[in-house]
Amino acid sequence: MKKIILLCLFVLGISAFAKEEVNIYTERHYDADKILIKNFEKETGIKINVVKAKGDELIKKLELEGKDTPADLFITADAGKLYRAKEKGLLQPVVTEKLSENVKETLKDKDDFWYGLTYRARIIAYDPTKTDASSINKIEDLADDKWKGKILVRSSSNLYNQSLLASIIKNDGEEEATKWAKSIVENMARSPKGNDRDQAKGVVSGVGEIAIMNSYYMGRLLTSKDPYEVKVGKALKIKFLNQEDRGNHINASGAGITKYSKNKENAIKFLEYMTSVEGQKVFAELNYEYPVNEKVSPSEIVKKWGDFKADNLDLNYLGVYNEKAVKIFDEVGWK
Amino acid sequence: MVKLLKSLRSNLDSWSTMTIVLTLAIISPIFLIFKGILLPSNEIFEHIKNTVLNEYLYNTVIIAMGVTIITAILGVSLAWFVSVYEFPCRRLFSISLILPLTIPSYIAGYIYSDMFSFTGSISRILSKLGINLRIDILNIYGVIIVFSLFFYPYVFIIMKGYFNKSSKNMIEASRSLGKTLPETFFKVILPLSRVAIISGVSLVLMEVLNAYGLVSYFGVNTFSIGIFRAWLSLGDLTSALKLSAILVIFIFGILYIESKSRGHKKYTISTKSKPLKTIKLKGYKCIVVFTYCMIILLFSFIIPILQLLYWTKLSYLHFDYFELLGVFKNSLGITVVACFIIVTVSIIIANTMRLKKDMIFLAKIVNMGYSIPGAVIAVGVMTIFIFLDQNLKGVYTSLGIDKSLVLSSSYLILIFAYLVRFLAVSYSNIDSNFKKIGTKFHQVSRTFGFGITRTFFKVDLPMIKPAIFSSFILVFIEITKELPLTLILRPFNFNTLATLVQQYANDEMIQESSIPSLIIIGMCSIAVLIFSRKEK
Repeated sequence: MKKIILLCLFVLGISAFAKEEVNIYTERHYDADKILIKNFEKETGIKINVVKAKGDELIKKLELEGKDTPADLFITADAGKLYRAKEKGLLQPVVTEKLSENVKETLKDKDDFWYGLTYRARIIAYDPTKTDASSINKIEDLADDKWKGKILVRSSSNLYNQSLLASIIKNDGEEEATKWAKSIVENMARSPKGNDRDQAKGVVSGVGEIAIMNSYYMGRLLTSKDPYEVKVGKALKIKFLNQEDRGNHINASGAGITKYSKNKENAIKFLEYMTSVEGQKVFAELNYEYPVNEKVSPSEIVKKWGDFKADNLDLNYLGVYNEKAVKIFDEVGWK
Repeated sequence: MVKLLKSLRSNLDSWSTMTIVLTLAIISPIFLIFKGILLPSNEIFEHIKNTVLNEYLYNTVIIAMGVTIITAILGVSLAWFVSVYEFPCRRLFSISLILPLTIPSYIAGYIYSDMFSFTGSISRILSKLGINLRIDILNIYGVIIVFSLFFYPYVFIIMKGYFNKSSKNMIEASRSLGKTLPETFFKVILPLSRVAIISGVSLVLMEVLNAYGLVSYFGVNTFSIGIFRAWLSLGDLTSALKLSAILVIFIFGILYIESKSRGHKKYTISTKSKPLKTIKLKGYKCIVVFTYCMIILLFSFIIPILQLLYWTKLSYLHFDYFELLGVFKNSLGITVVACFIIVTVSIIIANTMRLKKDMIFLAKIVNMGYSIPGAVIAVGVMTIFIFLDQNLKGVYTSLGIDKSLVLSSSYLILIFAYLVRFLAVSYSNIDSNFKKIGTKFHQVSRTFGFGITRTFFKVDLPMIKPAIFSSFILVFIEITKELPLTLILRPFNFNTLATLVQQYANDEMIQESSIPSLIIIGMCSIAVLIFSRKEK
């Protein structure tokens, strides 16, 4: 009888026996991650099991599963979500020599609950033959009347915009941030729609002049399999902002060990691997993201944009002010 | 509740028992979702209500109305043409006009927005012709048109069946009384086919209200965006649940008013069916009808497929086919198993309901899942399964399993969630077929002393065979395209074709998503073709 039940369970895809493994819940959906996992499995013999979904869906899953969760590692594409998981008591602090060595101090949680894996800059892109962007030095400058009907940016449901506004709330205060968001809405070339690539295309096609987008999508355009997209990428120039003051807004994707991890040792090994020189190279080369490990340099394409000063804001604040940011967006009518 | 207990006592046979058990299981996650509506309104819900809810409601109503009207017109007219007229390629249209259903609406959205975008094929063709015209389709009208192009087959399939079988006698009677076909259509058939149109349109309506990917990409905020914004942006699941409960109540309100206004008219029909005699179209009429069918087919199927093929040409060299094979097997496997279970369950419940009229209210609740956003159902189902697991810990330990979340990390949770979500698709089909055959055959069999079960297998089952088959196909298509449930509830390392498409599309790698998209469409198209052959 017991054998029959076990057989049934097997058929249903329930593995009853523990092996050397790490179970991860991840929001990152890039091919680079797949390659990195394969490399790690080959090197260590530890099996990585993956569930991919949106950050908050996975947070809910972790909450409901509680102590019984099979997940060892929680990976997101946004530091704000890591903060949310930390606040809900779903993560545990971890300190190892390698992790401290691998991850830059400003790109990890100050209480060691999570570590950055990569970071991206939210930049502006414009066509230098049509637009003179020399007067835009700060993200705040985009609020100027001068840019009325010229700014292209996607919906406020997008996490990258929420984090951008959260950083402005933290740096300039809520009142200023609201004013800024309101002016941006007034300056928009069209109602927000599409993804980051579509904003870039909007500039080239003349719908607007300034696109707010993430740095790595620029890399993607330049290496796209569609020759027309490459053309768009080549026509545009990117600019880092706030270089004279706090630095350009960045957001990190990162990972934390779950509070009830059952394969903690292996999960730490994987976390160390992802932040190691070897792992970071994969993220940098394939995904055009900036590495958190200072020993690794960005890909050639990214390097061409030059060095920039990044905002050193404690990234947990992106989570702290996330809700506030969404509310401001709703109030000012940023769709 | 009292009603339920009464019916329990008076006729507790195996069918009723099975139905009650199944119904309770299916209702439990829905019930959990509805609990949300009773919770006191919180600050975030107030914020949503005060700032954006009106816009969400307005957009939702406009889209729902627009799509309902257009799909009704497209579905009914196309079905009418291919059923009663003879014109070139009629047989081909009759089958191929179903195929747009196989293209997931989120993929259709990406295809059309890309084609009309600056770098897209339409803009390129126009500029080659020297026309400098750019059409922006990323707006509410674009949403309505794309939805209509890809959802009209729900109405088309149902109406085609209706014209061919149910209304055949009336069409022929009207014709023999000297009415022309157009007169017959407007004066006789259209008023009578209201029930059939409504059942097709309500499937469309639920799909539209549930859709997330396309509206979010097109930048049109609808109610479903509001639900996700409450949860995923504001981190407040309670408000999300409240909003979805409101949505469901709204939908059922509409359907209820409709069914009340329809009254208790019943049309059961003879099941003898010879094919409807078609009339040959000549001259300009023939050209008009052919062109109309062709244009719809072009925009809803052929052009999107060509675009996908073009992307495939750009990306096929860099694709991981080994992974794709595994994913294909996963998709097919779980979908077939789930379809089998869903169709069986819907037959059991529908058969009980038609014989035990006092349990009919259960049918309404059981079918609610189709109008609740997938991600919300996922939360309900997850809560129930984790609760079960926690109570079964002792059993697991005695079996020597050192894991505690056994059921909730298995395929069972996913299959059950599909059942909750898609039962309505199969149920409405089976149920309407049962209604068509009526209960007279059943009663005759019972008076000969056969039991419900024997009668079911000997009399009822053979008569509803076509509906079983079409239910299977429809559910198959739905599950193959399904996204949020699969994403949230899947076991480790489990990918389906849809999740693969989503992974690439989400990452703005639309070219790479074309191969799995084409496989989804191919798989579903084969299903449709089998379905159409069997129908004959």
